[in-house]
Amino acid sequence: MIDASVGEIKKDLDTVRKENDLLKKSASGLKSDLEAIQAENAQHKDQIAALKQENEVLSEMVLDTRTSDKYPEKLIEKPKLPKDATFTFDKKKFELLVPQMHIPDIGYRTAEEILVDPVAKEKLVAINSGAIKRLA
Amino acid sequence: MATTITVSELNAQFGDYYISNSANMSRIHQQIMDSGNTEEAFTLEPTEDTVLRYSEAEVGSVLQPYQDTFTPKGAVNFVPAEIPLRQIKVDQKFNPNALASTWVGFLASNKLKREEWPFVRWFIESYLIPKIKEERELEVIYKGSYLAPTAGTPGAAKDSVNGIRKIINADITASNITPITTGAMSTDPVTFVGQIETFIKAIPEKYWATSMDLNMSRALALRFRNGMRTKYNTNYESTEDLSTLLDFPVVVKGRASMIGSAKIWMTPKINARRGLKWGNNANLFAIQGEDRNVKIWTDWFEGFGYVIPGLVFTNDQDLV
Repeated sequence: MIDASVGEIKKDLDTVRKENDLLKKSASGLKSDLEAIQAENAQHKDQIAALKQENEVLSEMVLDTRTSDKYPEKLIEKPKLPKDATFTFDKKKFELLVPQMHIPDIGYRTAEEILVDPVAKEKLVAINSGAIKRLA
Repeated sequence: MATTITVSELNAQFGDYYISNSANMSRIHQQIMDSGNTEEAFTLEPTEDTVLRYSEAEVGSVLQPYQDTFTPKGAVNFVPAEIPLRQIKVDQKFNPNALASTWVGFLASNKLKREEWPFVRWFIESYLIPKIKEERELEVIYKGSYLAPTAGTPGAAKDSVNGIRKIINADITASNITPITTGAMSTDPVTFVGQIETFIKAIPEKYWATSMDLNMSRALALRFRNGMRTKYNTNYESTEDLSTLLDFPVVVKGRASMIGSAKIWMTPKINARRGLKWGNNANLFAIQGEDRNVKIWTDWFEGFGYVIPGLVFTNDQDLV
């Protein structure tokens, strides 16, 4: 009778030990999870601080706009033809006639940008663009 | 300078006399006058003013992520735009007496008041009204360039008012319009279709779903349709379908006004305006007898332009 009770107690003890091991493992897993969450939380705190700062700057900008005597001018100034809008390509001289254009496959370019962009110049000459005039 | 009525060739052939016979107005023929269709690209705006004024409201961004703090954001910039109207006139003065002894003597009459002669009605209905429409199309609406007249001398039709070409080119120079470089238009229809498709793809993507007519000369529009037939093997499509760009709500329209030009342009119709003051006068005339002369005149104001030039998409041709 006593032997049987001892056997049951041993069984229970084994079960408890196993459960204990499992709990220990789980606790260590939770600990690593907690560390990860804490690290993430710290990152979020940094991000929030950065966004708050950015937001304050933007709010000031809006305030400037509202309190200004006049509405802001266009952000981008309209491009103008440079005084010397000529360029040489393949030993031939050309003059740019327009201050800005959109060149398919290349994109938007101002006259000033084209004057220093060999690819754009080559394209304009190749397609016989009306935006350039051959001088010599 | 009076309007000239020349009958010398007629008299040399048919004699300088009139015999009442089968000759009548239906025997008088003219070359076909082309009234064109460029006006349909514009929104007509009847007005009592001599300048149409608009304002483009440039607006800034408004959306922002939520936060409890009130953070107002936005900007409105009103940009002025105006389309001036120019006064255009038709003045005629002639003595129709020479018609009496000719084969077209039926245009004369025994009425003493020359303004009551049948010739005057023929002159207005068969000459003036169709000619006004033709010159407006061929000389003014696209190719016009206003030039103040020399006192006492009639100016040219093309000097009456600034046309589309002049307006677009001025806006390109002022950086209000960004031209898309198509280069010289290819004479090969298939290559030409490719050029047009490249042009359309170069306009900002946010306008790709906006319905627009792509205006060009009739020759280029025909080349486009021929190219579409070959490129996409659509021989049996209707002319309208052949004129429509694939995947874009853009229809190619041939304009008589653009004969000889390689420029192409398009904009939403609501953005293209044609201001007209006393517009009915283009079909109404004052008729007055002065001794044996007849004076006919009319005048009205007309102007073309765009409310927002930045919404005009054009190429790099015909810039001068």
